[in-house]
Amino acid sequence: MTMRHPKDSSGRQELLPWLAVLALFLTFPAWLGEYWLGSAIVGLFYVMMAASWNLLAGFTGQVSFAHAAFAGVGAYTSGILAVKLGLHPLLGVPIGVAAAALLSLGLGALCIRMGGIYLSLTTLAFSEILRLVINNEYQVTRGTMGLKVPFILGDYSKATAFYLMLAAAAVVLLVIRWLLKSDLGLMFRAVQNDEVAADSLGVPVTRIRVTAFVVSGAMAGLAGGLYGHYLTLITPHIPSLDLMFLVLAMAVIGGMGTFAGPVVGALFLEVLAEYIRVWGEFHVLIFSLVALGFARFLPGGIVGLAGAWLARRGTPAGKGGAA
Amino acid sequence: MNELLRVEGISKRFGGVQALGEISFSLGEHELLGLIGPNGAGKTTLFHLIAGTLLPDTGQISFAGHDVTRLKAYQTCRLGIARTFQVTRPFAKLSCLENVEVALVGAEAPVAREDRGERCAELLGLVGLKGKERLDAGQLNLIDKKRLEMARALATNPRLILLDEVLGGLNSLEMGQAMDLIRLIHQDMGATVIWIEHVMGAIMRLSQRVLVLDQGELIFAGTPEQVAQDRRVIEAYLGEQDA
Repeated sequence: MTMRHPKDSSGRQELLPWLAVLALFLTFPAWLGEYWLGSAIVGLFYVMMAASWNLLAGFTGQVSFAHAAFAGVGAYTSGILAVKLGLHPLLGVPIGVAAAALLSLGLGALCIRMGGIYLSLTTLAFSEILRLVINNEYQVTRGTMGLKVPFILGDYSKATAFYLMLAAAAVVLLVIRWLLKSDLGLMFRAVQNDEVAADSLGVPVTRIRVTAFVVSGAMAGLAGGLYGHYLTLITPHIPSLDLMFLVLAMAVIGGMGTFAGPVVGALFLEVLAEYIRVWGEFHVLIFSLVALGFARFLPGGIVGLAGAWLARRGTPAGKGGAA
Repeated sequence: MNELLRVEGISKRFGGVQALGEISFSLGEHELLGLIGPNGAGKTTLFHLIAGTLLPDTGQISFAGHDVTRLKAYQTCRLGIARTFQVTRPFAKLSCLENVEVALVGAEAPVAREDRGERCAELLGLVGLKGKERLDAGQLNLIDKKRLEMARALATNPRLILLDEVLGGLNSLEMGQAMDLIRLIHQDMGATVIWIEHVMGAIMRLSQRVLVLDQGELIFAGTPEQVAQDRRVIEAYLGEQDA
């Protein structure tokens, strides 16, 4: 089996840095302090968002602008169930995930055949529609005031929220990793590279794309649901285009189409955002400009840059020693 | 000879251009059919329609007892129709091995993971890409990209294979190798072949029967010897002779 998938050859070895990062994260509640622990939780939310968006955009080539909207669907579904029916968030969040997946399926079936820019436009429109509905259905969503929801589990504790987010992020990343190594992942990449050729070789292109869309949407629903119950106030900021573009910038700056890219990008920008918070809304503008620069001059992002640097030093990392 | 493919009155229009008008022909099992005609005659469009990449405006296509007129390309592929593309379409960022593996995974019953490496290497060796398994397909030169298309098409275990100008741009040595490969596919593997080509010597040598398309119409069908003598075919290629 040594002949297959050059990127597979170092499977176990590749896991080590991830385990090291996980171990480091596990110690955070012990020493990081309340403020930065909060930032770490937000960072993990963005890790899930950017990684799942990248699964769709980076590995099947479908640039969706509805990703934040699906996070909003997850958050509001669970939040409303908690407020109106008193459902426990740990039951509500899975229902929110299912709702996000179902809406992804509907939207995907509707617009994926169009492909390219039309997919982007339709998802953008969906995002706006959702925002308008949330703003105007005041009785249910509390509009821009935000919906007050119970904390995710037991009494309010950042450590609890952090560990839950960490577990969820780890599961999301593991599922993405597994998908990319599976036959489905190979078909994702084939469809992204050339859908006419993939079609001619027996790959059901539309079904593959819808699958990626649904998996990615469900992951956004999970991220959004957990995040909302951590904040205990769900506002239209979650399904906003502001958040959408931030996630996009994270994936692009970290390295679209790579596994580690969105994770690096999300954590990097979240930490950076803490330092330039004083600039207010301008930080989204700055991130967008930086992302534009990366897209034009460094399409591999930070991870691509690091990989090239390691390759130059002759270290067999990054590409797993295959190249 | 058993009939494998039957095309009845299919046509295709792109806006104001009638790319193909009411084409009918049938193809026997294990036949090697040459398809020639000037540029823009509709040869590649015919392939698109048979393979299901495009849908015909009228007519019917049946393959091995199935009506495949409205089927998509991935469905006709699973029934046993494979093709190569005139303008090559490699999965540029996938390795050659992975390019072939896609075809093994796309099958109705995907080939088991542990058997794939061997099968891919075997097919790549067959088309002359041994040693290039790990290269990204985007890095290959044109000739190797054409070889890769053949390997991918063969990986689908086709009963009918549609070859679209596999000789274009090759030198005489490479052309010989490619023709050996076509002979192998046709005779040793027992596949039925439709082959579009502009290199007349090659197509006349290997084809059992030749169809000639001109401006979307089927103007001639017959043996290679008959084609070379036919006045209409000569006119289509060289223009009418002034009296």
